Amino acid sequence: MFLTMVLITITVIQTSIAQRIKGSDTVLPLAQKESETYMKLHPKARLTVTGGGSGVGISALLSGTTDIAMASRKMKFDEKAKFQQAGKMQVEKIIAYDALAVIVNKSNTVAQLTRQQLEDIYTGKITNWKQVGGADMAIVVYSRETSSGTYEFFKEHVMKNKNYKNSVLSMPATGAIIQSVSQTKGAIGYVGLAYLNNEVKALKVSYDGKTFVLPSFANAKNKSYPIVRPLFFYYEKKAEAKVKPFIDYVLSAAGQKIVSEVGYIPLN
Amino acid sequence: MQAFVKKTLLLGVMLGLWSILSAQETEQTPLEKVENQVEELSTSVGFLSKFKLSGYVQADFQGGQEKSKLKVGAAKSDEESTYMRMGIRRGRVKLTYSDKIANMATSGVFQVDITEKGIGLKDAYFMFTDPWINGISVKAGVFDRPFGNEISYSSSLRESPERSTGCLNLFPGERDLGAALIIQGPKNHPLNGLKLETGLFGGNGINQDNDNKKDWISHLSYKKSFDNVQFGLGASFYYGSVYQGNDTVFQMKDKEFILKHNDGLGNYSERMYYGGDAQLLISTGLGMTNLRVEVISGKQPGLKESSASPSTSALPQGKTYRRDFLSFVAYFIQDFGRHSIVLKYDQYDPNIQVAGNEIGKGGTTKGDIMKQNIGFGYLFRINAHLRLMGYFDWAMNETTSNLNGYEKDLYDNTFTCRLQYKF
Repeated sequence: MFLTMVLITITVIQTSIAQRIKGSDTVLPLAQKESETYMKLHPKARLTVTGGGSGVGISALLSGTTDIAMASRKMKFDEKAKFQQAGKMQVEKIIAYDALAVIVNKSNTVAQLTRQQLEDIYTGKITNWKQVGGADMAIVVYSRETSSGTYEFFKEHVMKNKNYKNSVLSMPATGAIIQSVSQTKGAIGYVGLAYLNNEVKALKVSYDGKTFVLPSFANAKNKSYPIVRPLFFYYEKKAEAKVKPFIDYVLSAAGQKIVSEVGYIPLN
Repeated sequence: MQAFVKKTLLLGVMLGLWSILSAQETEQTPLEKVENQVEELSTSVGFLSKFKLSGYVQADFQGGQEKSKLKVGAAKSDEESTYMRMGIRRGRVKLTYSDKIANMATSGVFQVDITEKGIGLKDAYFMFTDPWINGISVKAGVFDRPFGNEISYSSSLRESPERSTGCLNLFPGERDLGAALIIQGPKNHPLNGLKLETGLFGGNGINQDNDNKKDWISHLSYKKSFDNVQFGLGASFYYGSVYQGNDTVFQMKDKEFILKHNDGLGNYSERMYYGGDAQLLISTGLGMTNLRVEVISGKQPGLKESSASPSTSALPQGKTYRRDFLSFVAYFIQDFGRHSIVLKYDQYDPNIQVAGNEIGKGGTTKGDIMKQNIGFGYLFRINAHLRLMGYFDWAMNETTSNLNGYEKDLYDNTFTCRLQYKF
C-alpha cells in the first residue's frame, strides 16, 4: 500500500513537471502531436513545444533554456565539445525517421530529378528548367536557413557537401517554403514528408539515375526512397528523470502510432 | 449684440467639439499603446543585444618549494622555505559590441584583468569582415598574436594553470599591438576549415611601440570535424627584430658566446621563430580525449641571464645575447563525464648549442639552462559556470657543475588548487 502511494506520488510529480521542447521545425509537428496526446493522458503535465531549427534547439539545451532539443541532424562535433566544456552530458534518442521531399510548383511539367541534377540546381550549375526537360523558365531555388538541420542534411546527403549557390532564397520555416513554391512557377524547394500537401508537387528522385521513386510513407518505410534521415531528441543526462516519461511515451507503441499518423516513419 | 453673442457661443461650441474630436482621433487604443510599447522595447532590446558581457574569475591557492615563483600573492620572503599563497590569478571582464554596418559584420572588444594586484589591459581591438564573401577580416588593436595554438587557447578553458615555459618566455602576455588580416572560407564552405592570420605587430607586447621595425607574424591552420573526431594542423612564422640598446652583442660560436663587432648600438637583432601545432579531439561515451602538441624553434635575442622577449615600454639597454632555442609542449586530457585527468609535458631549451656541463663556461649563464615541466592535473566541471582544478607541476632543469646553484635540480615544484567561475 505504502509502495503504491509512493509510486503514485512519484508519477504525479513527474507528470506535473513543466517541460520545454525546442528545435527542429521538421520535428515540430510530430512533437506537438505527441505532447498534446501525452498531456491528455497526463493532465498535470505541461509541455511547451517551439521550433526555430535544430541548431537553435541544441543551443537552447546548452544554455539550459529547454529540456529537450529536437533535431533533424546529429549533434555536430563542436556542439559536443561545448557540452563537455560546460560539464553537461547529452543523451541522444532517435524518435522517428523522415523522408525529405523535393517539391516544385504544381504547374511545373518536370516530374523527376536525379541526385546529380539536384546538386547542380542547388549549386547553380543548372539554372533553367529546360536543362532538365522542363519549360524554358528560370529556376528559383529555395532552401532553409543555415541553422536548420534540414539545410545541413540536404547539403550533406544530396549535395555531397558542395556549397549552396549564393542566390538561394533562405526561408525561416518549412511552411514558408511550401507557400513560396506554391506561389512561384519556377520554384524548387525541399520539405519534410509530413509537410507535403496539395499546394505543391513532389518530385520523384533517383540516386542511381535509373529508378525514380516518389516520396511517400510506404516508399520511405520500405527504403526505396533514397532521402531518409533520423529525427532526434537530445536531453541532458541529469534531467533524465524529468524528461524520460515523455520520451518513453514517444518511443512506445502509442507514440510511434502518432509518428505514422503525422506522416513520418516509425522506428519499427 | 444678441446675434454676436450667439455667433460667439456657436463658435465656442464648434471649437470645443473640434478639440474633443481631434483628441479622440489622436488617443490610442489599449492595443495600439501595447504595440507602441512593444516596438520601443524591441528597439531597446535590439540595441542592447549588440553588447555582450562575459568573463571569469580564477581564485588560486598555491603552494611552492623554496625556489619556485608562485603566480599569486607576494614573493617569498627569506625566512620562508616552502611557501603558500592565495589570490586571484585572473579576473577577466570582457565587453564585446557586435553590429552589422552597411551589411558588414563588425565588432569591438575590450578586456581587462582585475585582481588584487591591480587592473591591467588584456584586449582592445576592433574587427570587420567583408560583406561579399564573409571570408576576409581585418583586426586591429591589442589582441592575441596569431602564432600557434597555445596562445589563442583561452585560459578559462586551458586544463593547466599556466601556458608552457616556452610560450611564457617567447610571448609574454600573449598579446601584441598591431593589425592583422584574417582569411577564412565562409561558414558552410568546404574551405571553412582553412584559416590564414597574418599581420604586423610592434613586437613589444601590450606596451607602447618604441622602434621603427615591425614584426610579421603569421599562422596558417586547418581544422576538420567528423562525427566523433576533430583534428587541427597549423604552421606559424615570426619574423621580427629586437633593438640593440648596447654596443656589446654576443653570438654563439663553438659552444661559447663570441663578441660580434660592428653590430652594436642602434642596430637590431633578428627575432625569428618557426612553429608547428597539431590537435586531435575524439568524442567517446566517456567524454572527450584531447591531445595537443606544439613545437617552436628559432632565433631569440635576449639578455645575459634571460631569453625572454621584450615586454616593456623602454628600449632594451643591456648587452644582447643571440641564442637558438627550441620549445615543445604536449597536453593530454581524458574526460570521464564531468571529471578529467590532465597530463602535460613541456620543454624549453633557450640555447640548443650548449647542454649540461657546457653551461657556465664560454659566457653562458642560467639564461641558457633548459627547463622541463611535467604536470598532473584533475578537473571537475561542477556546472556550466564552476570548475575546480587540482594541478601539480613537477619542474626540472638542466644541471651543470660549472654554474653555482644549478649543480642539481632546483626545488621549484608547485601545486595549484583553483576554483573558476565563468559567466
